[in-house]
Amino acid sequence: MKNYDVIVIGGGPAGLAAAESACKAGAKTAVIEREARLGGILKQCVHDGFGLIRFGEKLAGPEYAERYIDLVRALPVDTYTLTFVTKLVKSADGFSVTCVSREGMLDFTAKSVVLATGCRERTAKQVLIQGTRPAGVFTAGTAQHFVNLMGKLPAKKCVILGSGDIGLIMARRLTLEGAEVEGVYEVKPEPSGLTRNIHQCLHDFNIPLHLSHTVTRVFGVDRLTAVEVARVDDKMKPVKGTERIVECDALILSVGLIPENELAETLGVAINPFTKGPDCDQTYMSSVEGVFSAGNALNVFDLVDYVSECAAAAGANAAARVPCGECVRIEKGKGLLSYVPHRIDLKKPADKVVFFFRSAKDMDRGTLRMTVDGKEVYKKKFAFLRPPEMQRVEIDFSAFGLNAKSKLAVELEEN
Amino acid sequence: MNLKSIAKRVHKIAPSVKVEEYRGCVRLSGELESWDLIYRCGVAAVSKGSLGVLNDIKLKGFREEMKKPSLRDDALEGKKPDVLIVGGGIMGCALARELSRLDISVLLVEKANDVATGASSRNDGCIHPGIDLHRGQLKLKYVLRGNEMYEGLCKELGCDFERWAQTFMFSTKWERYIIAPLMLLKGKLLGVPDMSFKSPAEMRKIEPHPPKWLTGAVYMASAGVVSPYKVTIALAENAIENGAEVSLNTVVEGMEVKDGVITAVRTNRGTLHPRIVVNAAGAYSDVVAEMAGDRTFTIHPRKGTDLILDKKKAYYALSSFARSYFAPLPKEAQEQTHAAVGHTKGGGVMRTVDGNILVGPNAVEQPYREDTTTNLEDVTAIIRKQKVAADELSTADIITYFAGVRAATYEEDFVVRKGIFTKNVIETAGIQSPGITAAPAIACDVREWVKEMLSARDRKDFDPVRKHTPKLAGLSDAERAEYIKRDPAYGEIVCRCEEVSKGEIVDALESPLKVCTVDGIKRRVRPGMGRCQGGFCSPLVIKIIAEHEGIAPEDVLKGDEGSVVLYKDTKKAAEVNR
Amino acid sequence: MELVCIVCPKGCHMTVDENGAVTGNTCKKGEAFARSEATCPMRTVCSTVATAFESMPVLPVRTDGEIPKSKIGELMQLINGIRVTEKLHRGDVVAASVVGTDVDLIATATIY
Repeated sequence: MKNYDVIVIGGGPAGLAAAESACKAGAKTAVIEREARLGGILKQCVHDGFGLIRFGEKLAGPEYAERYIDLVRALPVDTYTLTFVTKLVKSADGFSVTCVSREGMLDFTAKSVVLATGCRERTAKQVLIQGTRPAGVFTAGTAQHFVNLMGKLPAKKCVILGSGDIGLIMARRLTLEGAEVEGVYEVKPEPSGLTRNIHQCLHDFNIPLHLSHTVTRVFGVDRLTAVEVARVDDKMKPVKGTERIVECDALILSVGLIPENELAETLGVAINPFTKGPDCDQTYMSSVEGVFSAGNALNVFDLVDYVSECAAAAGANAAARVPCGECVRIEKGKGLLSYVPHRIDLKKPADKVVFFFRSAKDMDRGTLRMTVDGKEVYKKKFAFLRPPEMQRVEIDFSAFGLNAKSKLAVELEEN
Repeated sequence: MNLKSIAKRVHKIAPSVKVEEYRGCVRLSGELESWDLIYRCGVAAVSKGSLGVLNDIKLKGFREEMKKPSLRDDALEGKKPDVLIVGGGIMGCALARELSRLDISVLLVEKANDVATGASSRNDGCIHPGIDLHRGQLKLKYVLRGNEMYEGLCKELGCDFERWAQTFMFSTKWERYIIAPLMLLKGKLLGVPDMSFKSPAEMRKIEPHPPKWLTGAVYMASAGVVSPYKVTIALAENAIENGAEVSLNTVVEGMEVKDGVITAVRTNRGTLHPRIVVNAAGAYSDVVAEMAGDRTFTIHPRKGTDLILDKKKAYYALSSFARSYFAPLPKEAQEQTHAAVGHTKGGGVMRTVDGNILVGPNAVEQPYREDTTTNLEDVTAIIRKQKVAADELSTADIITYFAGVRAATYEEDFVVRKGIFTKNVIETAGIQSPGITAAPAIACDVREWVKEMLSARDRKDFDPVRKHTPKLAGLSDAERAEYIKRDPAYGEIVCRCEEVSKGEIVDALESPLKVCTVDGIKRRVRPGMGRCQGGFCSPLVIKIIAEHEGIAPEDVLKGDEGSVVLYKDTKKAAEVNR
Repeated sequence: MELVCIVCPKGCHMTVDENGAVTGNTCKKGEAFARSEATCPMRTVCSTVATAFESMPVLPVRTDGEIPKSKIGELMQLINGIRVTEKLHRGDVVAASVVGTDVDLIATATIY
């Protein structure tokens, strides 16, 4: 039985940043990673664009990951790879963590834990695609694993459903590797990914983007032979009579990410309905004292740089073990899709809180407004808000004069 | 039989159909434009005095090619097994195991790349109590016996089995006071054990989330649940351990019958000369019976769709339950379900042996024997319908869904008998729901018939216990540590959702009936059955199979021939590595 | 030529005529981007190259700078023919001065 101050579960970008900062804050720290290598999903993200904020450079995913791995390796942090947490239980003075590994069953204790368990992809069945069950239906991340880690092509001619960034990046990647991408289909009337990716992944390679379209059905008994696509109405329901059969050998899905919080849920951690990650305070502590959340398990981010920033704060806070007090919830008003944190703990420092949010829709100009008991206490103007692009702002909540009975609310007004 | 009155019934539906008697059966022929009419004619032709309905009415323009392996070799040429079993579903595999108790040679042929690829892997795994059956039905006899056998059988095979019971819930007072006692009485007459009435308060102790409209329930403690494909595979494995042979990718293409005796069976892998042929061909069992010259029945494929929900929603149901269909629903619930009722029947909400919630199935009459496609209307209708019993159900909880085709006869009973027109054939046909429950019991009867027909003897060295690795995630930490000490691969988790280790996957690759496909591994040890549906683990599973078998990852298939997952190296330069 | 600006999230719809005059932009950066896209668009290319190592059959690489978009095809030909036999480290040059530029192809991961 090994005892730690902080155990970080997950060795991707969030877990590594959390471990680095926890260790630097003086905590005896361990990282537990289920895969054979640290780095998480970045290992397979060979495209560039990572690290502009954190390192001031445009790095490829594996480069960004290795830089963090180097940082962690230089510190006295214990790293366990191919180690899978089977049980996480609250104990008298913290948590007991049971893992399975090639070395046997491992038991650890930790005063606090950081859950950096990442997210998973929504699947074809979760978006109710019907038809047969052939080979050739992949989530974009799985296709990316095949191409970028194994060097194997999973498609010769494919259709991509979903214009999220992973889908766009896979469109370019598969094209470069010699596959044909017939088109990208997006159920929403506007693209889900960044404009840069629409431009450089689709336009550069003449790949058509079909907005307000979806894939309804797959064909082929053994290997996929075709898909049925259809236009959708403003309620995103397929319009009868607009169906078209597209011959292809693969369907690649980029239809959303789901934070993985199954372990958190076993501890009774409350999940925020909008981020689908743990409901957290300004130190990224969940509803269970001593349990912190970081990275895409907390909230699906668009930039890894923000993941690192958030996770580093979570790691430092996990090490600091600041006592908790009463919390004031940040009530969600109009115009917002989601945000973190969700509440302010009155006992914890609140002067430099990083507030991340996404707008509910495209807005050329918008005003983020915080009110306490109906009175405006904060206002900031933003230009060009789009739901795929997360906004970051530092807010001094300590200046709001909050007390346990305060009604704190946030809204985003279009103007 | 009264052919005149049968013809009258049939002609009311379709006047152009020819109705005749053929070898004690009622034979229908002609051509119609709708499957519904053909089906209704078949139902109308059922009569007590006949051996069965031969519904040969053609559906205009309809064609379905049987899915066949392209493989052609002579691996089985000239073989003379004592018993040839046609079909590797639960029926065929249960037969193979039972017959391997005898000192005879047993060969099972299956046209797919694995056993349990048809209806046996596409059902809810319910071990039925038998309450919905009737006296005199073969179904009833075998379900009651099969139900009793399951606990011991699963212990021997190392498969999970739970008697989680089944409840039939009532929404009105009159159902509670009239239907419930009638049901209990029926149960008593049929011989269904352990039935009782439960009040709403008692039900709440059994199911913490009963519907608000509940007025009472009939509780059937004998109902259980298994993983139907795991049991099927385990039966085949234990049969092989005891000397039976299983030949996959093998399709029966024809038979030679001389003077009421099958003398040869032609397959894509050679011509065989079995002493006895047992027909366990599921949806194609009437086709095989026809080849054998012994057909007295017709299969009308009945499709059903089931939904699997995330294990997180396991609290919806601790057992298996369905709402009584006698009374109309309370108004608010009725609106929800309005579109769902109609041609579907039955179905419910149940907890699978692996801890997921399964919702369904529905039932749709359609002409295809192998069409397992799903449709949005079915998926949403099932949710709407079952929401009445479990109001928290939502499409957002669905992790997957599948459809299966039940091999139903017009008599709606099993055909379990020795050959009538052909001496050396045994029919185990029309084994649809509750076939999983019944198959082991049917196999016992067939074993006795074969024993007598071949004057066979029991083998002394038969071992009913299948060698297997238990599901490690279900063991205690200490037991798990023991396994890891033996082989560290047991400590390497490959499938995070279902907590499956590499060691368990390798064991499946070394099992008596190894099937080196992604689906084969999935059915045996569950990687890819969880909420990510193989998103994370499928590349790893492919790598493990490739490594273990010494083949390239692109040679690992998903399931049957042609289900290629990967095409080639992305880099020309990588070819040097080969 | 019509294009959407990717310099900032605003996403101006811009037009560049035959004489290289830019319209539709709302800032200088946008104008420069449009002109460069119209004359000689440049891209960083990321991909993988084959290796001789079973543990890591492909090694991720990228150009250490931008190359003309028109040369992506040629670069991919080169990339597909490379097979790394040494245990390269992140940042190591896999191929120097590729497709007639002074841009190198570098490893973006370390072979383990």
